[in-house]
Amino acid sequence: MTDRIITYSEAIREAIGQAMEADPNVFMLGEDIGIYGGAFGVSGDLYHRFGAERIRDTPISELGIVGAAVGAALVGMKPIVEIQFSDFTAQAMDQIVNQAAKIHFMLGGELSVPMVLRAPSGSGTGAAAQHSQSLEAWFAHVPGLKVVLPSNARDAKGLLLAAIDDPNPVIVLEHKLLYKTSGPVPEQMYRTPIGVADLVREGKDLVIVATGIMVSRSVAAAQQLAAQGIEATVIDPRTLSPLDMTLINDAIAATGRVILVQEAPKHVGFMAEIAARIAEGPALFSLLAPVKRICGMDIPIPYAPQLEKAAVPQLEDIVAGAVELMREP
Amino acid sequence: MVAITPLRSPESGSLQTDKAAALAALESMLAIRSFEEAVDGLFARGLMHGTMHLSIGQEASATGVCAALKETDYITSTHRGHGHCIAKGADLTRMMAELLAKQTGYCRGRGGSMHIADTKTRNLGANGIVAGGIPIAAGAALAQKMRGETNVVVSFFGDGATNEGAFHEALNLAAIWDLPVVFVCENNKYGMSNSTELSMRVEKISDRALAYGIAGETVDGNDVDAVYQAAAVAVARARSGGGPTLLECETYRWKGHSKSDKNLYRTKEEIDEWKAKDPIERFQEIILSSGLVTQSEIETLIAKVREGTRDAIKEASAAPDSDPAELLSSVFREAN
Amino acid sequence: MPQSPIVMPKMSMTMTEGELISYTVSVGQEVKAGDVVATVATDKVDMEVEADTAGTVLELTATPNQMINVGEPLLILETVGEDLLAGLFDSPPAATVPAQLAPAELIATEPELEVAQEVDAPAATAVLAMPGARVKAAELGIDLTKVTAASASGVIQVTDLKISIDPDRRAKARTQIAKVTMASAAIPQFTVLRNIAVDHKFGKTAVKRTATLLKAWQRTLEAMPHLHVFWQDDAAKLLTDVKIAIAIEAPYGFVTPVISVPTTPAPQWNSEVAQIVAAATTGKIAVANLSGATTSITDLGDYAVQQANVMLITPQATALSIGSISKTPTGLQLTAGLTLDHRVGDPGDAAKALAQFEINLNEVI
Repeated sequence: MTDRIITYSEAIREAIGQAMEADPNVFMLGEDIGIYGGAFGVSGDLYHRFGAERIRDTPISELGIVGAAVGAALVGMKPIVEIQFSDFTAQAMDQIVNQAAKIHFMLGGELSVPMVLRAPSGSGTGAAAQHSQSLEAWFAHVPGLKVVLPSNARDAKGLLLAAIDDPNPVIVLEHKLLYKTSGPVPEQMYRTPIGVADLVREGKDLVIVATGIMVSRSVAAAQQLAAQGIEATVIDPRTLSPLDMTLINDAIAATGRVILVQEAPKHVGFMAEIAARIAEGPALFSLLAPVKRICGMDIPIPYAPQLEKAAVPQLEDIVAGAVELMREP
Repeated sequence: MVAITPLRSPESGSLQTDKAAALAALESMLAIRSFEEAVDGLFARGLMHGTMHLSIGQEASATGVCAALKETDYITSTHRGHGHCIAKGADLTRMMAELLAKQTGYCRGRGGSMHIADTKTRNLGANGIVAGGIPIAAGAALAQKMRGETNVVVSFFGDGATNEGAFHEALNLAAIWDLPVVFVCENNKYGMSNSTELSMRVEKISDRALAYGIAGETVDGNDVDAVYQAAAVAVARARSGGGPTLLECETYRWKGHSKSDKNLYRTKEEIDEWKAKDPIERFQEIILSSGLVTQSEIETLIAKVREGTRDAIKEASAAPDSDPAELLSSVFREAN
Repeated sequence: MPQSPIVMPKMSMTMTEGELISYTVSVGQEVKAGDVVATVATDKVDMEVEADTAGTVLELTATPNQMINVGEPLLILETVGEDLLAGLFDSPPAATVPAQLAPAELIATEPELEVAQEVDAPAATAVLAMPGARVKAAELGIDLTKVTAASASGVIQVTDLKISIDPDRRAKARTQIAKVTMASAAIPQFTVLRNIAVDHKFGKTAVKRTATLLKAWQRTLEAMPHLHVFWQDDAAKLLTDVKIAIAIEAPYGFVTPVISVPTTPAPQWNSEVAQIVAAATTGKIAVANLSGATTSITDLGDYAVQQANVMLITPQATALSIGSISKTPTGLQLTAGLTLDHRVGDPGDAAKALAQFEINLNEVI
């Protein structure tokens, strides 16, 4: 089968539809996912295809929704929870962190929680501080949760299908600005393995590790850099937990320079973990220049477009960062 | 393996008029008491680590409710969950092994007292988070409904849990979706030290059912037959598609909240008053005076339970300690 | 009748002992389950201890104000029924041997940590350097304490290793080079070039290439002893041992450490070559290693230079230069140049020497 060009949002919907057709235990629950079609239109026509039982509209009740998904998963269902904005997971944190993440370990390994929690993440929509956060580091810090950040339509489908298959709770953070972006996506059900990083672009001079929306931004930056004679490798870890450091380490060994790009605030962000792993591992001895992080400012996301843009890394920040890094030895 | 004789839901509709059912209920209450007294003793002597929450005095609610359940019905439990676990049929040896930090424990030493689950008896787990199990019960009930199963889910929780947001969200979801779940509030008057008088304005916790448009009932939680009968009605309602019930069992814990409780918030008189309402003694008197069982039958049962507890301790103590070597590989379930 | 102890209870997760304040019963007194038998104190809070079973007080085993470990008895009851835990843990929990009764901290006690052996902390180095710069500095034998960081952070980076040039030293070095080359300018010398086909295995690493060239050139001169001479006092003086100076780029200009080739194969020789090359690169070569050469090799292969016309270093009569490797339709080749003191030999001699060198080189490879 050939790839079609479809949107990130369509790719997610296709994955859910295929999973629901293949397995009657798969169902979706969330706020306004039924006739409304989802706050970002992701569930779309699924309600009409599968009905109200399996595309289950819920009250505004995040803790209840996630708790119900945990309970259903414990007895063998495969729920896909949609939380309308990833910020609202704060309302459901007990069920995510204290229940879903720990049940398999804490209860001795007999039970597990094959639940998928999808949530739109990130800024760029003018929705301000309570609807724009990038909270991946919160989840990645909790043992027992798998965390994936698809950065393109193909991975959005492949990672979601892998997450649905996974017998553990998987948090899928989708970027709002990516929903309408398009890319080639195979029609069949394929899985993008969880825990394997993606080499997006190869270049000999430096490595850019980026997540979420920052992946495409870093590729665009790499194209500009190429015009200046700087060839950048771009790596998308795709999965934050478990984290694949092999590719990152190898790429650093080959170039000696690395930039870590994330939208989330810098302080205690996920890239701090990657920087620490670099420092702990073999890549440290290949470094020709200090590790450089290009991250969001340590502030809540502001409303005004010029402020919002200033708060998170833009294309030119990545280009400038790379040029600066190349000027180091 | 040490477990109670399975509880029975008698055709007579009352535990007090069916001998086998009465003896099973008594055995369950005695086993819970005995297990927890042993745990208390082991802790007092420094032979048990960590903390645990004892339900001595509350044995009737766990027993009466579980007597109304089928084997395939589910429960979710609480930090004060030994009683629920035992009444649902768990292996006392594996429970004791867990508390003694053994590899053979229900959680292989990773969970301890507050996290025992038992897939075999369909106990979805105790919970260290107040109200943590209530939404989970709703979800398990949703799964039953979606699959067309007739199993019911019982969620046990305390009075304190009803002040949590999770209680509200779970009861609302269960109500709007008519889920086959029974919410059993064991009101033992205190959320740790905070009494229900201080923590809520409603007179009865079951009044809160009104807010969700579901049935609510309060029973004497120290009367095992009253608990059973009310639970049987609620379970039948749930099983037949009539939706959830909030069943409040008024009871009392004799011991402190946990092992660090110094009972500063309640009086000795109050504790004594409730000890006089001991659910075990009450039930024994009723079934003895009605002639349903004899004194010697009760004594035989007490001896059996005592030996069961001692066997559980002996067997659990002899087991290997839980193994740190497998810790890292236990966080995620391997994909099939 | 069974005996049963009432012990100092563990009343919190961290409690290990408690103080007996007073008994509220006396020997011979009957108690019911739940009766208070003693008051004890822990964490400055008084707690009542209750009998957990009915019986008669047989013995009070402690005295008020005494500190008692958790699990050790406060008193012994003679009981009608036996204690639930009786006999389960080693010796019976009757009062006969109270000390064995209570392995009180069986679980609660943590093993004492062994005090880690004191180890001298590594001397704090004042030098801050990027790991990559440290690796490179070690390779080159550069002393980082003598390197100045260019960046404001004060951290030495790889580029700092190259720019740490002492202008005085550089000037001195040039003066020395001027002396040598001026002396050389007085000598009649010519250079002959030859394209040499080399096997593809040649030159994987700089050190390996250097070692190969050294061996091949040594053999060449050994085969042509009339060229391996010094022209001194108007006559050619034959030399015995071939001692080759290899010209290496160093921070202050080319240096020419001398490397002897062992006559019998020595496995560690390659690493010796590596060490000498590394030391020379940073100008850290011992003076002894800079004298006594009988010939020289200048390898410009790294600089994409095809050929070079190098000068003799007096009193040497030969100087070999090596250009970079290029691909030809028939294989790899490099251009070698031999500069010869005309007083010692003619262009024909040089051409023969290069032909011999080609053979030797490919043999060595």
